[in-house]
Amino acid sequence: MSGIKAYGVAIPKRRIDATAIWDVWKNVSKDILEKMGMKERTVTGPDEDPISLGVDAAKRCLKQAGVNPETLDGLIFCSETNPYQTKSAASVIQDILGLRHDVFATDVQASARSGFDGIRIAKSLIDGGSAEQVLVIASDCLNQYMAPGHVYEYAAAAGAAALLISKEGCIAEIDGMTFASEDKANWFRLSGDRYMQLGAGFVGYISNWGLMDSLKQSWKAYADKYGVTPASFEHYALPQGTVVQAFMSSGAIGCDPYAALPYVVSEQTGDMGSAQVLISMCSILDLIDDASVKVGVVGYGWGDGSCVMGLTTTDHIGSVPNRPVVMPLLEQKEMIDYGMALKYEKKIDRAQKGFSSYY
Amino acid sequence: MGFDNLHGAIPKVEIHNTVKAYKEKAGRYRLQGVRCEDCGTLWFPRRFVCPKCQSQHLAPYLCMETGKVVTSWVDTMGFPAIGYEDIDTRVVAMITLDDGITVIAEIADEHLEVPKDTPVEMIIRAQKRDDTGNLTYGYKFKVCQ
Ligand SMILES: [Zn+2]
Repeated sequence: MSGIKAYGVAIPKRRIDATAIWDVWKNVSKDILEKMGMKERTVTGPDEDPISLGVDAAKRCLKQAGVNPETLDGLIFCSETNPYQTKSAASVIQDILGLRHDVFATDVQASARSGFDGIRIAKSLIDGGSAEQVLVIASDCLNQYMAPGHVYEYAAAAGAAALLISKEGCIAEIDGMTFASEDKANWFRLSGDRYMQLGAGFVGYISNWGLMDSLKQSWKAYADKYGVTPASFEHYALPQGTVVQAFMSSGAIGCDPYAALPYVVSEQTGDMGSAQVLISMCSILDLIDDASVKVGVVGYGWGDGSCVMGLTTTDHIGSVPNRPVVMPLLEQKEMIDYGMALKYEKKIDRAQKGFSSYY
Repeated sequence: MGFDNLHGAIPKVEIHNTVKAYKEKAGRYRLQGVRCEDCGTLWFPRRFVCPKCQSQHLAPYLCMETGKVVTSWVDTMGFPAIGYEDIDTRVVAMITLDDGITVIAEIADEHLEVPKDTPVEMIIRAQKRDDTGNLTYGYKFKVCQ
C-alpha cells in the first residue's frame, strides 16, 4: 500500500479584502458576496508564481519527512496556471530542490483536479514498483489570470500544496481513488489568452452545476468499488472555490456538511486552484493524532472532472513534527489595496521599461 | 571589480546574462558554493581558484539555508532597479549563514529594515527575467516565523 508520508503548504502572505475589490467594481450585490462566503483572498507578490510557491511547499514537505531530496524517484508538478506553456516547470523545481537527474519529473494539467491526477500517477508508479517515493506538488495562481472586473475576481487566489507519496512510513494510506470526466463548457484559457473565461453562463450556472453532476459520478464509482457510505468518512476536504461550493459538494455526496466546514479555508484564502482541496486536507491531517481515522478528499476541476480519494491515517501521524502547518500560514498576512493587487498580478498595461527618468 | 576581499559577500541579485545565469544555477537555486580541499575555506558564490591559498582543488559545497541578519537596508535609490520595477520596497541584507558564509540578498515580503540578528531562511522567488525574456528563479531570504 502507498500513501502520504509528509505534506507541506505555501500560502502567499499578501491578502486583499473582498470589499476592497467591490468598492472599485460594484459588480455584484454585496449580499451575494456574503452568501458565497468571499471575505479575503491571497494575492501573489511581484516575485511569486506557481513555481516559487510550489518550491516553498515542497521544501516544507521534505523537511517534515526528514527526507534527502536525492532519495526521491520522481516529481510531478500539477498546475493549471503553469508559467511555462513550452518547457517543463517540473525540471526547474527538480533542480531547485536538488533531486537526482535520473528521476521522472513531469508537469500535469487537469484544471483544479491536477493535484489528484498527480497523486494517481505517483501512486501507480509506486504500486507498480517503478518508484519508492514521489513528490507531488499542486500549485496555482488563479489570481494572475482572472480579469479585473470579473465576478470571480473576489475568489481567484494562489497557493500550493506538496505531498510526498511513498511506499513506506506513511502517515495516511491512500485506500483508493476514483475519477469522473466529461467535456463541459466551463472555465477555460486558450494558449496566448491573458485571462480565463467562463464557457457558458454565470459562475453559478455551469461551474456549480458541473461540480454537482461530476461529483455524483465519481462518488458513486467510489462507493460501489470500495463499499462505503457518506458516513464512512469522519472528515471531508471538499471542493471549496467559494464556501458555498463546499455545501453544494456535501449535498452531491450526501455527507454531513459539518464534517467538512471546519476545514474550509476559502473564506480566508479564496480559490487556490489545484492546491485548494489538498490544503484543506492538510488542515485535517494537522489535527488528527490517532490511527485508523478515515478522511474523504474530493476534488473538482473546471471543464470538467472530479476525483474521490479515501485516506486512512496510520500510527505515524501522531509523531509528525511541527504541526499545525496550515493555521500559522493562514494567520500570517498583510492586507493590501486593490491598486497594489493589480500591479502585483501584472494586470496593468504598461511599458516594459521607463519607470523613471533615469533609464 | 575590487570586491574580492569581501570573501564571498558579492551581491548576486542582478543577473545580466542568460548563459551566466544558466551556468550559475546551482548557486542561485541551492546556494551551492565550493569548499577548498586544501585549506578548508568555504566560498560562495563558487570560485575556481581558492582566493586564500590559490588551490584549484575545490569541491561543491551546499551552504546552510538558515542564518542571521548582520545588517539590512532599504533600497532608497528613489527609482526601481532595472528589471525589479514591480517591487516597491526592496529590503537588502547582509546575512551570515549558520556555517559562517556571508551573503548579500534580498529579504522578501518586508518593507522596513530587518533588525540585526533576526533569523532568516532561504527561499526561492522569481527574479528579473533574463535577456531572452525567460524566467529566472533564485534565492532570497525570508524572516523566520
Ligand atoms: Zn584554499
